[in-house]
Amino acid sequence: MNRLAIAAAIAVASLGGLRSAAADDKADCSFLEFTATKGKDPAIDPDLKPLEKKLAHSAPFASWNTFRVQTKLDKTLQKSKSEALALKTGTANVILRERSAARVNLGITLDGADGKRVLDAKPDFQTGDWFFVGTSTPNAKDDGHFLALMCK
Amino acid sequence: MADPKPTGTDLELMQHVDGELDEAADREVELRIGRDPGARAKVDALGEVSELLRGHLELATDAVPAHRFDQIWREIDKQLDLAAAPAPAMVAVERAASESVMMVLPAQASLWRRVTHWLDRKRGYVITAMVSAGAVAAIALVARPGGTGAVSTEQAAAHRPAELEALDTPGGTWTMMNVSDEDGAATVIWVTPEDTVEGL
Repeated sequence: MNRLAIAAAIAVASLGGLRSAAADDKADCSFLEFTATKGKDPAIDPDLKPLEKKLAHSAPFASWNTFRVQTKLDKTLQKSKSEALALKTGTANVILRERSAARVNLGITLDGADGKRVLDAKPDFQTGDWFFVGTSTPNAKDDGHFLALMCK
Repeated sequence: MADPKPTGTDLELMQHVDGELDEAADREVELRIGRDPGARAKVDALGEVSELLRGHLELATDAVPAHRFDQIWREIDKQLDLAAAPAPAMVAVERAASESVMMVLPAQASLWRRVTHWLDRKRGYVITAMVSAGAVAAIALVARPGGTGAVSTEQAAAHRPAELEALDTPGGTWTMMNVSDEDGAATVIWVTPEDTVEGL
């Protein structure tokens, strides 16, 4: 009977461990590809509303006044499994390297429309925080092209 | 001078003093005492000795402490219990019979009855198992390194901006900016293409 008690304890511990492992092996992430231009009529795409204050007042966004979403994606990243993001301009790959309750550690590559590598980064940031990667648009050097991502 | 040994007649006198003679024999002894002053003297002496003995025993009884009496009674009770209890072999036989009944009953009873019956018999073990399992589960939850649950106050207070383990921008240079407002924090990596730098 003591064996039953030990078995029950081990079972509960195993379930707890599995649950913990499952929670640490994935991250729910949102991706927004958007352009930043300067025009006569300022406009911020409704999908960018959560970022409105940052886009309106913070560098480098304050250089533009019109923000249009090109691609919107929601993906659940599995640890060590690369996800390709089909963007309107270029491509991106994202991989979840590590995660905890408070932070995610990603691997991000961003290639331009010409296929050239623009960025290869391994950022570690707080869950719920936004992480932006931006560069100028090839055809219009004064315009910006951004990929924004946030994971929970 | 040697003491006179109790004769059959003296024995009768002692039995008379102790009230052990039947009615006819007692009457004969009474007659003899009436006739024989020596017998009378012996009977009187025997009566005094008896009184002395009785008084001494009563005094000795009073001198025994109450707790000693309690102890004696406990020992007596124990002996009585042992005498009343069945022999160990009999107990084993009865227990085996009882358990065999328990084994037979569940096969004929409903599943619920069998479960409750089993729980009744193993209550101590079941409680031990549940407490152990609960303790292990609590430890597993507390020691859990992460999860999708809400971020604690401590974690929120320890907010750290983004960190870069590695960053490569093959076609240009980069600038990192941290932005924070009431909507939260953000980090921006701005990549300036090489041709743009050259153009400047």
